Amino acid sequence: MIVDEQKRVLIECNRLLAACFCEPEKVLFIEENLCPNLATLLTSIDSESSKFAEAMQQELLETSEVDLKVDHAALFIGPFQLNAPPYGSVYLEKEGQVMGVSTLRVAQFYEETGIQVSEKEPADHIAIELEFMSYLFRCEVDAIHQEKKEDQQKFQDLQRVFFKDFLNPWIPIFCQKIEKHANSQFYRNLAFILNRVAKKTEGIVSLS
Amino acid sequence: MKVRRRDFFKVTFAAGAAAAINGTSMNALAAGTPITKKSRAFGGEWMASTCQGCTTWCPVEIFVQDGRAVKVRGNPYSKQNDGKVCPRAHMALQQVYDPDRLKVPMKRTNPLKGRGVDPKFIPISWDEALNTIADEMMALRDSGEPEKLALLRGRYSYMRDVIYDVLPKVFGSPNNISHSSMCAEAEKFGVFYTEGKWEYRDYDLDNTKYLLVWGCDPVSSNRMVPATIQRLGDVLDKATVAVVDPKLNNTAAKGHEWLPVLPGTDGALALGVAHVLLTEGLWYKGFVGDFKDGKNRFVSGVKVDESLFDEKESYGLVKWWNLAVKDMPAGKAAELSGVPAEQIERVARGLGKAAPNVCVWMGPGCSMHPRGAYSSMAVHALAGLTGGVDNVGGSLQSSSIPVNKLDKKLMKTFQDEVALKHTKFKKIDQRGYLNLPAISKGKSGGGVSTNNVANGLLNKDPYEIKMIIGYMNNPVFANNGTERWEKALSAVPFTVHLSTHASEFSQFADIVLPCTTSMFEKLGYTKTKANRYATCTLLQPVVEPYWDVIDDETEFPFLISEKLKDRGFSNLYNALTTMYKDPESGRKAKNSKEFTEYALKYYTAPLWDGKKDVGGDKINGWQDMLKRGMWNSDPYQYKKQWGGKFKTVSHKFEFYSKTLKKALEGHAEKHHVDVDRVMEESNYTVRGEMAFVPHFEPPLRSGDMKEFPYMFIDYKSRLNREGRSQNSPWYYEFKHVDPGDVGWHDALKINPADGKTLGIDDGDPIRVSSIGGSVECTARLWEGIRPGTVAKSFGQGHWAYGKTASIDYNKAQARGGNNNTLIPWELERLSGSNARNGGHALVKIEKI
Repeated sequence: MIVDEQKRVLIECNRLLAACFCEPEKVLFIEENLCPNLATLLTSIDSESSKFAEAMQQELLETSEVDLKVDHAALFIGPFQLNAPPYGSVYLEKEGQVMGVSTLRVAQFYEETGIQVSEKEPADHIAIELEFMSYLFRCEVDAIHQEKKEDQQKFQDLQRVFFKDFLNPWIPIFCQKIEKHANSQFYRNLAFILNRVAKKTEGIVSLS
Repeated sequence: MKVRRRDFFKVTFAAGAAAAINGTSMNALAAGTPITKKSRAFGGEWMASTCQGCTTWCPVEIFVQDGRAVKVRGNPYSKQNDGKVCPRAHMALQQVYDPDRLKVPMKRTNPLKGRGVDPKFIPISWDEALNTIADEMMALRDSGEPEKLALLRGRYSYMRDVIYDVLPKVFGSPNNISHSSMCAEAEKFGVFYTEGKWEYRDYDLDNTKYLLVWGCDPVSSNRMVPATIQRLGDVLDKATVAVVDPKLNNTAAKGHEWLPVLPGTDGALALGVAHVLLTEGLWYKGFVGDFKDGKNRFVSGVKVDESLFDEKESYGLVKWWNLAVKDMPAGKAAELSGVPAEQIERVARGLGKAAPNVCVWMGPGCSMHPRGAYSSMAVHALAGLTGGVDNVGGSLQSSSIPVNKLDKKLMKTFQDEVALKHTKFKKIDQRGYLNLPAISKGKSGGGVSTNNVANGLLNKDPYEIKMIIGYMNNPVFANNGTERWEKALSAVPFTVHLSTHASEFSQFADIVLPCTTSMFEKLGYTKTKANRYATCTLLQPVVEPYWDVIDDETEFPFLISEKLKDRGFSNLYNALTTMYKDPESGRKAKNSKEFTEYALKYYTAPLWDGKKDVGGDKINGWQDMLKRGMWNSDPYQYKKQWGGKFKTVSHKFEFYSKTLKKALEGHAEKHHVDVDRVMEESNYTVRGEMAFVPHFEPPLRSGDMKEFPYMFIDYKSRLNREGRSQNSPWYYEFKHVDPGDVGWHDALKINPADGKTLGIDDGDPIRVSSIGGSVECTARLWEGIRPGTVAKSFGQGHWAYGKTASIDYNKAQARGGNNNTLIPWELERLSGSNARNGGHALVKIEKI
């Protein structure tokens, strides 16, 4: 597979992974083929992850929405101790707080590319960072198609820096926490996939 | 966070197909104007707000950089803290940016309630949350039982009127229950029934010649912390500092005298001091008066003829002497209190020499125990004897803060017949019952008894409570006798908890609602005093909240009023929008944010609208008020109450309390009994006239001393943001700033002699048990605690909180132990207070 196609997959993959970290809505996720689509996309970059995505679909069908929401909340929302805080600064900074200096740098990174956060959440929420990665990959692919070489290089650089500085460093421990605390296979599988996709992404963005 | 658009899921698989940048949806991101590094504004701004980490309520400024709060300092305009803050204000940064904060409204999906039972909360929309709450409220209205809604208030700003008064009263419930009696109502009791003010005092440290601190540690807690930190050094240089506390607290460690009193015997010690002052002729005659012929007839054990004494600003000195003081010489006081007689004499003489510039600084340690009301009176009586009451260098009352009041008359026009009738029903805390006089401000049942709510709920007496709305509180953790609360709350059908953090109370909630932090995100105001200045200080949203939170005291009532209006009950909406119009434009609020702003403007308008000279700082309009963030009064004028202006029955400072006599007789009459019966029902031992004077009561101890041989005392850490800092890592990292404490431990201070007897070494893990329950913590052998007494800081022991406060929420495993589990349920019944001090909890200690 050529890099262009891998990036095309990563556009979609990151977006669907971002969706997976949002509040689970069973009917919506099933109707929109979230897990099957993710599985199909993953076949081209990591076949094992693809199987895990297929299993997520099975879990989605078999688990009640309330159970999924309870699991999702305990991992990523609370209200008591957050089992897998989905915020970069919690992992990247000594104090382990939200809205740290690294969060601000993430928000500034978005702003410098003409993007802003429209949700009431810190900018370094996992779903937002994955969506942003998707956006950067998309911009690069667009630049390729529009033969804007400078832009292509610019977005490759942005991908590399953002991924290396802000996203990749906390993914392994974040995924470990999910795997440790999740009650459902849905989120354990999601952690597995995210970890694998991150490793794949690391190779791809450093090649660019 | 939800996926808001279906096209966010859309995937194009066609190989080589162009990625349609415009056709693909974004979810949490949106296009904006690019901001380059060059065009970004750097720097920051100091913005005014208020710290509510303790009840000093300091005006502060917060340095906001790129939308983030990064530093805190005192508001430089402030005359009450001189522009300085204590550690609590800085710690607040770890609260606002705590990943464990409540982020969205959530509802319980597991109907079972209890410790260790996961409520299985899931997120819901604000709309669903408010609709559910409004439905529950309407069900109570429709069934003609609005009194079955209880509003439990915790830490408040003065915007409280909206949620605490208007909401329940217009709805039709009498059950607006404050937390006040958990703090120090027994302390106020002593002041009211001598001086006539149901209030905390201010203290004139700049001019004092003798600072007698009793049952508190003013540099770490109480009500003027930064000003005291700033001044204690000077006070030590030019005055004497004596501290009464079983534990060597910060002030005691620096002071000239430490009187390690046996817990609960403060009344004896105070009477012993009074005895020396009187027998040695050291009382301040300019306040108390003198024998007509100038000859001192106060001789130990000898009655005095009242007619021989001519009192000035006080009433009943000789009666008090005859009833209680004459029989408490220093030697006897020493036997009872464990403080050496010579020290009692030395302190009394020092006080007499310094009089009238004597500051008797009384805290809850001497008053908040089952028989603490009279200790409180006895300690405050020393302020009277030395003439320090309302005087230079003494304990002061406060200048007024001329803000607008709740317009009760207007509010009443929005109460329908049901509301008018049902708000007169008895309250769930049973205040005013025979065995619970709660005689705040002289009225039977005039005060709250927060800890007795648990009994009211459990026994459905006077009736069942079907719905609780609680805000900024955690009664199941913060009241002594936690087990009783756990049972009581498990049985309440529907509970709503508004808070910044989920806690043990949330464990019993059906809906939890995320709220703004008071220092960084909320709009409101508080009134406070310290250092001779009264202050109005604003809480302001200096940063944009990053989660979907609301202001508890104003936005919640407004939003609920809209929902109730949709359901046909528009009284609350009409009341709020009419009572709180914008005082400048006369406009009615259209949304909850506007409402909050208008309500704040309504209250504070006299300080900034320029219509009337109210004294103090001159503020030019609303924008100026917001920018400064505060208003200072003129300094308090000394002796405002002297000259027969005390608000007591006699209009004098009462050593024999006619005011208390009237109150007790009123309560007795209401129940068709005599005062002796009231005393018996209220856990007090004296009968007859003794009930009306400060006297010594033998302390009530809970448990058998053979089984539980140690007296347990609770104290407040200088890092406690009112029990809300336990999820902040800094709390544990810096815990050693409390004398005797150890970082990252919940340390029980044990005298080394007791440690030896018990075979316990420093650092040993131990189990501490009382008749109330058991907790596990760490032993700390420390000479700063008197033998036979052990002490532990309040705060740790959360089994349902965030990742730092609890070791494992899923296993209900707490970090440290909750003192309120050890301290058995009990009240000081005359004031309605929680009995959490005075060593009424007896404990045993085992190595584990």
